[in-house]
Formats: sequence, structure tokens, C-alpha cells
Amino acid sequence: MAERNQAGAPTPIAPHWHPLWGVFRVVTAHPKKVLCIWAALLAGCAALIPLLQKDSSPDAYIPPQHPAVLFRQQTDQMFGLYDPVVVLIDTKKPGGIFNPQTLNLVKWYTEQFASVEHIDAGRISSLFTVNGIQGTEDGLEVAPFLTGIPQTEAELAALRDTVMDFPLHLGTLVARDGSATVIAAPITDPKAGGRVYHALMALGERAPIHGEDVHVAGEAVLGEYLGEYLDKDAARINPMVVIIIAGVLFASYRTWRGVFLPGLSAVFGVAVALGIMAALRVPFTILTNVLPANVLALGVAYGIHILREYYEQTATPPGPRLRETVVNVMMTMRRPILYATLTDMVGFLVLSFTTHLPPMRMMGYFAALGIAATLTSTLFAIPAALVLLRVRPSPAFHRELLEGQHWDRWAHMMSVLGRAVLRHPKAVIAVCALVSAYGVYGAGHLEVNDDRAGHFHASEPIYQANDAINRLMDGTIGVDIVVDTGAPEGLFRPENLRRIEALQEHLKTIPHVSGSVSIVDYLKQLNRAMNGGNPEAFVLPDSEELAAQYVLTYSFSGDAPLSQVADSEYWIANIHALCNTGLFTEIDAIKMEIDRYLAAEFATPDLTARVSGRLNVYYAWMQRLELSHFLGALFALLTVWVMTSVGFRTAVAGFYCVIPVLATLLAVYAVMGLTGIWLGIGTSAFASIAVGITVNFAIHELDRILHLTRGQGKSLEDALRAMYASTGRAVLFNFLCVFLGITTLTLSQLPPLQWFGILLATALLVGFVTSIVLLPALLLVFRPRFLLPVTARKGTTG
Amino acid sequence: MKSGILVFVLCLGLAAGGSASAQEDPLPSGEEIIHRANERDFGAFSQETIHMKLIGKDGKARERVTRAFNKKFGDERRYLMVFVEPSNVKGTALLTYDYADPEKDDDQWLYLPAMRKSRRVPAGERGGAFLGTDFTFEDIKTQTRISVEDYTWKTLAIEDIDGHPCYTIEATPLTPELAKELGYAKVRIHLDREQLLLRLSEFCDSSGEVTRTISIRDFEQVTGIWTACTLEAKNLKTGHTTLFTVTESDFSTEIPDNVFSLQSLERGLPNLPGKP
Repeated sequence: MAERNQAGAPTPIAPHWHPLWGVFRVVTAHPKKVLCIWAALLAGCAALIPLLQKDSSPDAYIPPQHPAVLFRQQTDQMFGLYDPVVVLIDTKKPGGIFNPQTLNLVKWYTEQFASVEHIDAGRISSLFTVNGIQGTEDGLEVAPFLTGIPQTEAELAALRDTVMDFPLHLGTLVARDGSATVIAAPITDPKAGGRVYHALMALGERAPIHGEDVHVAGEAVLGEYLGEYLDKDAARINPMVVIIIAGVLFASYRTWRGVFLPGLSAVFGVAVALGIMAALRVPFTILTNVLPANVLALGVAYGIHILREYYEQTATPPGPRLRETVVNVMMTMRRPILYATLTDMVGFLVLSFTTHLPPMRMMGYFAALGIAATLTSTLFAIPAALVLLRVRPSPAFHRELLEGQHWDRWAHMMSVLGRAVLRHPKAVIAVCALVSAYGVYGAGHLEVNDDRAGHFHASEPIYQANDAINRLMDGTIGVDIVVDTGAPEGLFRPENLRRIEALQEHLKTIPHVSGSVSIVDYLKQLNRAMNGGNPEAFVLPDSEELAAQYVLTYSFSGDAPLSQVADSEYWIANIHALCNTGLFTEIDAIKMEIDRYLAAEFATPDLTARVSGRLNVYYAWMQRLELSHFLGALFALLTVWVMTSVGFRTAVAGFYCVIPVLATLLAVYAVMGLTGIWLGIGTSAFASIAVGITVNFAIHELDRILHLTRGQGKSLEDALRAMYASTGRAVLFNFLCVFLGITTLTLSQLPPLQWFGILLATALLVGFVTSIVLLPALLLVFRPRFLLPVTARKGTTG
Repeated sequence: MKSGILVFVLCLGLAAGGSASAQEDPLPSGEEIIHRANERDFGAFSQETIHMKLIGKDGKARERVTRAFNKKFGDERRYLMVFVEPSNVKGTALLTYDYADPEKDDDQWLYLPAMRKSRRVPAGERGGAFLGTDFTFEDIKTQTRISVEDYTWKTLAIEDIDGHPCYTIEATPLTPELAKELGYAKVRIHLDREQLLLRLSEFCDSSGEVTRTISIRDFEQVTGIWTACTLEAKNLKTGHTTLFTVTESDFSTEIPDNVFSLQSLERGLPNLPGKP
């Protein structure tokens, strides 16, 4: 795409007719003004960045208007449900929690909960606040299980009998084996989850613990706690990206301007992207956390190519005046840079258009915006700075190198690689074909999966707390089944209650669904209590009137838990179950089985049921993940094919650019299939971004090869030898910058980002290798006609 | 159940007795106003029909109708609430003995016609919701009596409520424990300056935010006793509202003592006076 002289160095061009020529003339005529505007924009956008709002809540991952989200909100509102913060106390003492020390610890935490800021003190659930429903000789008793600490063995045994004989709270308040109990409460400010978590963790330092394990967890703090990781990640990754990229830039040119000009252009892109995100109040999420590293790594590549051209042109005396040289540099590089930018943006934009996850969509949009801003900075600020700086040669671009008389170690290394490809092109193709074939197999066996708890490392206390709750209690993921009886007080009808009871029995048979509570359980318990506590009376009341009167009886207690299992008209019931898994494959199976049962048993006009709750939202997250991932990859491939076809003016050349990229994707799928890496929330973003980035390597190579064959009439073999030493070397540095920049994501404390970094870095590595070996090998074996000069093509027949 | 703030005035047919003459500046003290408001004739017995309408945030309403009876037995007062509607709870009755001794808990029995049995049921917490409504047990039980000793009082201003000049008095529970038990940190009550009828109560949480209100309207004089016909409690946190409409208030028909006995309850209730 660029004009070059016989030595492969660019020929100064000045197409006065081109609008960009005029732009570069103006920029280089007023460099200080341009830099002042650039600095003002940078400062303005950077000033907005502190206003960025984090959103690490689970609901950030799904559109707020998604039916699963809306139905969950509606269900939560109807039944007063909430995500709690939970303290789990478990003990291995004989008799479990039923000993004075552990009960004292429960009491202590119950009292301390009320003093923690942002905890709703009026809604604390523990053995000391939650009421039991007990039958007495002459009536009913609704009272907290505990008010004081039982001391004698008899009192403790009585308490144990009472608690363990009350099925409604087993698995949710007390472990089914009595080894653990929880203290739970909603928080008043969803954004205070992190502070509440730390406050509760701090309580552990002065809690009267005597051998018990105390864990703090709960959905209410999980999201905000995750948000703290964002800050830690940003503080860890971003400086590392800057240091690594600066190192590569310095190795590339061995000059400070070679470091600062591309680097600051990319920083400008990051500042614009984040500043506008803040101004538009777009939240910063776990997924957008990868944005700075991506824009920095990609953005410096544009500057690298500009400076390579600048050093090449200024290294060839006698040159024109500096301003003319800079304009020529910019005019020479305008198309490759523009194409590189566009293909990079395509990767992110396709991701935005195909994903169903709002944070990923925003990451795509704003990364594309950051890349566009970096391009703007590259086209304006770099030439402005170059005309203000005195020409100083780069040690990496001396005349001998340009004239092919001497290669540095990088050029030599690439040349050796080129010779190997020239000798064994068919072997290269065969190896790549084998890897790709395995990739097709791997893609077919990709496991679409994720784990909410897997967003934390297994060593994290919050991960261990989550694990303990799933192990000891009924679970952490709620599923609510909303049953509509079609009429007020329909929940009192025995036939409806029996169908709900049957549904709960069926839930027990589904793996990972540990327990459920509904109005049926309360009515059974009330029936038992009103019959003197007789265990045989733990059955549903046999008439509508009795059910209604039991509910009325219970309402005299002033307790309000029935509001969590029935609406105020007793028209709609909520069956609240808990699942002890965060794995999406298992969540998927649970949802499918519940849906199947509801379709079979609740599809009558008088009784319908739908699944709601956190489980349903998680299920919705993953439903389109696989489809949107492969659609994204396909659209990205198609788009870069169209772009390269237009750029090289032949669809066949477009195919040659896309083939290494396709091979790259397949190779990454092969790695995923081989190692069992899931296609999850974090990892699903890699494909379309990888397509956009890796196609640049092929574009630069093919552009140079075409110039040497079609433009200068060299043989393909000679053209490839020349390409490896010059463009191959530049592509190597381009690759190193992006690869090492992206690799910093593997330093993230968040496993999804680590996996994203690993997969994208793998894709870049494979993309670089396939571009540098497979593309030339394909050209050597198939010798496409578009490589021939126009005159030669007219003379051939095939 | 003996102490509390007046919010459920006249719900069970009780009334504000003597009228209060308007006071000019300076504003009378809160204690003085409350003392005067407590000087009223509650009547020795009463009965009325209460239409309870529970309205959810979504506007869906659920209705119940009860007949309520109360009678003084020396220092103690006994209540009987019999459900008339909906049909599935018709005949369900709650009998309460409210003892004069503040240390002695109320006794409560519930008769369930579907079981044909009466069972002793626990009295709810003072701040707990009464029958799932937005009124608390405290609201129901305290009726018109205001426990001066449970609060500190401060007269804030004279404000217009529903077109009536009212004393605005701030009551603060004496101890945090009491506040927790009652379910609020402060309450602002608005007492009619002329009749000392309670027209509005605003319950505040510890941050001073009003979380619940009770508005009392449509006062009528029945047998010389001021009776509120409409009581509306709103939970501002949940958006839930409860509307009590009181009809057929009767302070003149004698109620036999055996109406308030457990034996009568278990026998399926005696013939109740007035309308069923």
C-alpha cells in the first residue's frame, strides 16, 4: 500500500491533490498550536477519569431490560427478597453449634451486625431473631429460637431438638447436620458492599471465637468486593503495560522520542476513551478493565510505523527540509496506519454488535473510540512533535541496514525464519492444516461454562466462604419459582397447594438443588403446631378454610416471613430454593429440568409457574454466549476480508490475509479444547479482537510483497527474502508491543481477565507465527495471479 | 402493651372526650397537651364494624371485614374481633385480655371455625405488623391512651392538617431499647388544637426520615363521643397502604360479659349483639 524506492525505502511523495496532504501541511506549519490543543484535550479527558463509576454487580452483565432481570426485580419487589450479606459460623465440635461458646459467638455477631454501617439492622436473620413456630399444649408459640444462651446439657439438647425439628430454616439458617449457622441481613446501600465486607471481616479479629470458623460472603458484598479488585488490577496492570511497552519501544528505536511519541499517543487514546466513559456515566466493569491495556498495546503500533518511516527517510541523505520529510512520512504511512486502525476497531466494534453482555459491548465501543483517538493523536500530534524536534538518527535505522548491507540481529533472525519457510512451504502448510483441523475439532468440543465464584482465586477468603456455604448450607444461588393461581386467595385451595408440594418434592431430585421453602411448608408447620406439635400433623390442611385461617393465625404473630412466599392477596406463591453450585453448565441443567417440569405440570389455565431469581439471571447470561462468540468471530473475519479485498483491490488477496487469521482462531480453539479452558464470560471476548489485531500482520506483509513483486517485478522468492528482513522485522516489533502489553493482563487478580489475557496473547502469538510463515508458504505454493505485474497477468492464461 | 403513642384513635370506637380550648403563645408543653388529650371518655364498651383494605404498591387491594367489641372489666379491658369476610375466615375470632398490670402480658386466644377449636396465640411484638397491615400491634392496642412516661415530648409548632390547626408534637422514646421495640426513633404527632383529636402521626427512623404515617379522618360524634371513621396507614418504605373504614359504631348497646369468655369462644361464639 505504500510507495517505495528500489532499496525498499519509501519514495518521497507529495500528492498535493490529497486532502490529508493539506492537513499535514497545516499541522506541521502550526505544531505548537496543535500540541497545545492535544495537551488540553488530554488534560480535559484525564480530569474526567476520576469520575468513572465502577459497577461490578452481577446485574451489570446483562441488559437491564432483559426479561430475566425484569422478572427477578418484579419477584424481589413482590416478595421482599434481597441479596444478603452472610456470616457463616461453622464448627467441628461434637454437637455442632449447640454449645454455649458457639451460641455466644452467634449472639455476638447478631448484636454486632446491627452496629455495622449500611446493614439493615431491622432485618437481621439469626437464631436470635428468626421466629420458630411451635405447638404447645393449648396453642401456638411464635418466638425466636433463642433469647439467651442455654448452659446446661438439657437446655442445649432441647434447643437442638427444637431447631432441628423446624424444617423451614434447615439449610438456610442452620446446617442440616447442625454444624453451622448463619447471620444474614440486607444492606441498605448496594454500593457499600465492600465496606460492609471489610467491617465484618474486621469484627472477626475481636470476635469471641473458640475454635469456630467464621466466613463472610453473600451476593450483597460479592459485587462490590469484586470492584475492589478492579482498583487493584488497574494499579498493578497499567504501570506494567507502560513499562513493558516503553521497553519494547526503546529496543525498537533506541531513542527517547521513539518511546514517548507512540507511547503518549496511545495514552491519549486511553484518556479519551475513559474520560468520555466517565462523562457519559458508562460504568467501568471487570470487562472494561482490559480496555487500557488493549488500547495502549495497539495504539503504540501506529506510532511505531510512523517513526520507522521517519527514521528511514531521515537516514537517507540528502533529504528535503524537515517539514517536507514529515509530511512525506505521514502521506506514505497514511493508508497502512488507517487500515491497521480500522481493522483493530473492527475487532472491537464487531464484539460490541454481537455480544449480549452490556459491559462487553461498552468495552468494544470505548476501546474502538480509544483506538480512533490514538489514530487522531498519531496523525496530528506526532507530526507536530517531529517538526519541533531536531533530527537525530536512530541507531536501529542506519544506511547500511536500509541498503541491505547489514542486518541487525532482529532482521537476521527474521531472515533465517524466511529461508526456512522458503525451503519447506508445503510442510508449513501441512502443520498449520493439522493444527487447524484439530482446532475445528476443538471448537466443536468447546465447553461453554463459567463459575461466578471462579471470578476469585481459590485462596481468597470470599471464595472459601462461598465454598463453605455451598458445602454446609443449602447454597448461594437462589432460584425462585413464581406460581400464579389466577385468583385472589387461590393459594388456599388444597389442589393448588398439593401441586406446589409436588413441585418441591421434584426439586429435591434435581442435582445441586438443596432445599426449598414455600407457603406449603408454613402451612404444614402451622398444622403441626396447631395440633400440639404432633410430627404426624406435618401435612397440608385439608380445606381452603383451614389454610386461610392458619395464615390469619400466623399473621397475629406480627411475623412477616409469609410475605416472602406469598403475595398480599395469596394469589401468587414464591417457591424459594437454593442451589449449591455456581457452574453454569449445572445451572443450565437445573433451569432446563425445572422448565420441563413446569411445562408438564403447571401449564394449566388455573395454575402457571415461571422461574425467577439469581439462577435465572445467570442462565440468561450464558444463553447467547456461544452464539455471540462465534457470530462475532465470523463477522470480524468477513469484515476484515472485505476491507483487505477493497484495500488490495482483489478478493483473493483478502482471502490470503484472512487465512492466517482463521488458522489462528482454530489454533486457539485447539488449545482451549486440549487444555479444557472454558468459553466463558471473560474468554469469549478474545476472538473478534484477535481477528482485528492479527490481520494487521498479514496486511503489512502482503502490502510489502505486492510492492516488491507487482511494483518492482521481483520474483516472489526475492520479494519474500526482502520482506522478512525489513517488514518482517517491523511486524516482529509490532507483535512484541501488542503481545507483551496484552500479556500483562495475565497478572490480573481476576481469573476471567487472566484467561482473557492468556487467550488473546496466545492468539497474537499464533497470529504472528501464521502470518509470518503460513501466508508466505501459501503464496509460494499457490502463486496467486494478483502477485504478478499487470502486464504479466495479461500475458498469462491461468 | 400498656404504653405507647396515640395513633389508632377511635379505631375501636373510642373517642376524644372533652374539647380543649385553643391556646395562644407560648405553645403549651407536649406533656400538658398529651395529658389533656388523655382526659377523655373512652366509653365502658363499644362495638363497630371495621373494613380493612390492604393496598399493595401495585394497587392490588385485599379486603377483610371484622366486627370488633370491647368492654372494660375493672382496670382491664377485653377485646373481641370476629372476622366476617372473606368467607374462608368467616367466624374466626380473636379474644384479647389486656391487663392493667403493665408487667403482665396480654392473653390472646384465637378461635378457628375450620378446626372448631380455640388456641392460645402469642401476642405480637409492639412494633410488629398487626394482621399483615401497616398498623402495628402498638397502634391497635394503645388506642387513644398516650403513655407520657415512655417518651420525652416537645411541642414544635402549630401546623395546618387537613384544614385543622394542629399542635405538632415530637415524641422521642426514652431509651434506644424502647425505640427498637416500637420500631421507630421518633414520632411527630399532630393533635387537633380544638378537640385534641389525633389527625396525623409521622414515624421517623434514626436518620429522621419519615418511614410510616397514619392519617385519621372523617370524625363523627357517636353518642357524644368523637369517632374516627377513616384511618389510613402508609408504609413509605414499601409503598403499602392499609385503610380502615369504621362503620356502625355503637357506644350504647350493652355487651354481655360472656361474649368475652374463652368458653363462649369455644362453643362457637354467643349471639353477638348488633349486626354480624
